Amino acid sequence: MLIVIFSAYILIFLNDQIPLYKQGLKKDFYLSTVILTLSLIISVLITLRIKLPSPSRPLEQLVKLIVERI
Amino acid sequence: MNKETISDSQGFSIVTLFFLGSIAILGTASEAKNDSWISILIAIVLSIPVIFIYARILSLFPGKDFFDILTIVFGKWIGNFFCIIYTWYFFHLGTLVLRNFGDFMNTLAFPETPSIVSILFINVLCILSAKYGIEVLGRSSKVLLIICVIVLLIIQALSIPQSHFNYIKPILGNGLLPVLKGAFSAFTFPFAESIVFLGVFSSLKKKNSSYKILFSALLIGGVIISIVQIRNIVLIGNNVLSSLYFPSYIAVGRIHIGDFFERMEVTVSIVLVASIFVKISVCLIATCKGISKIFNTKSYKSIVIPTSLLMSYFAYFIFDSTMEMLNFATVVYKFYVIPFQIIIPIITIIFIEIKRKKGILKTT
Repeated sequence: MLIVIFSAYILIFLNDQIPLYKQGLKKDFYLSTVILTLSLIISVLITLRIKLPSPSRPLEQLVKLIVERI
Repeated sequence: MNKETISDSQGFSIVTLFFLGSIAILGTASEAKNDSWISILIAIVLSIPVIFIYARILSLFPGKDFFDILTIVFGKWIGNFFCIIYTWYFFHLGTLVLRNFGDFMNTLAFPETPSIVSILFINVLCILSAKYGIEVLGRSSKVLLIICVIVLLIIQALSIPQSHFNYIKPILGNGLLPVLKGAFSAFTFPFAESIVFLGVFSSLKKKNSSYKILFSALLIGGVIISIVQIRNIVLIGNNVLSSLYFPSYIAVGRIHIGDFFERMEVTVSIVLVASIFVKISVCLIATCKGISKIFNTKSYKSIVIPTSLLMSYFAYFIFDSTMEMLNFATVVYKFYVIPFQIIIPIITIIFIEIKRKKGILKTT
């Protein structure tokens, strides 16, 4: 599965990010590469069945705290 | 880069389908039980002032999106801070809608397919539409809206023989309070979610189009949602309805004409996929525009693929179960979105009007 993920990401990188670099859009290139790397890390973690912290629980607690105060 | 423009009718189609979005499966205003259709009508009235605020913000700065406007009005630091929280909200909304879709597919349509597969596949479609821009989304929305309305009308007509209109009674039997609570739910989800269009509608042809588009879509979309809600109630009754995760699918499944015309629930999926595709695409475009503004990049299209992939993964791990997703959507969400949908836009319009009167801010 990891091989499939890495191959897909290499394909995306070659087709989507490299043209940005060639066009001279360096800022766009760096930003999209950073986001792509982040998404690669998350996809690998999901594949390895590592439980990721969900942002909805702290949000839920924060909202409940505020609503209860009001 | 070519400037994208969309016509009023395309804008109307996008907003109407956006409103139908998750509502097509989840339903809304569950607090009001069999009076939920009244709650939706009240929510339409409640949404009018908010929609006018959104339209006013857009019409004062033609050609600019909400992120530009926030920076112009509040300056670089506070403006950027608001940009970050709105980008998060649009991203989060996109993930929630994706998750709704994934759960629906995993629970009812394709039970043996992992939800991530459905999420990734619909996301590929959204990547394409976001990459080609809002113009393409506008053109496809026009076609999709016609298909959805025809499907909804046919289902509405076919549901009449199985309808039990006594299920609507007693009207206001539980008092006015649950109806008002339901109206607040329907106001935040989906009507005031149209705040997302502030991030997208920098490409309207005319200056005052935003009023026309948002207001007409609110009325038409709201009436459609209300009619769909009435259909669900008269088909299966509130007692069953309130215990279902995806009421429309089950309600339409009850329809049968004779022995040969049955299993109509697939039509719900048609409306769902069409509307959710538009909703996710709009959220994706708004998120990418936000990120692009924060980091000052040349085009939002360069980050569409990585952002949408990130959105898919978030949609996959944001909730452990459908129950958790539904709890967030019905209990927490309506309070969570108040700052984004009501407080910050009101502060923004007050700042704009004060600055305009003092002559600090030049608008059209």
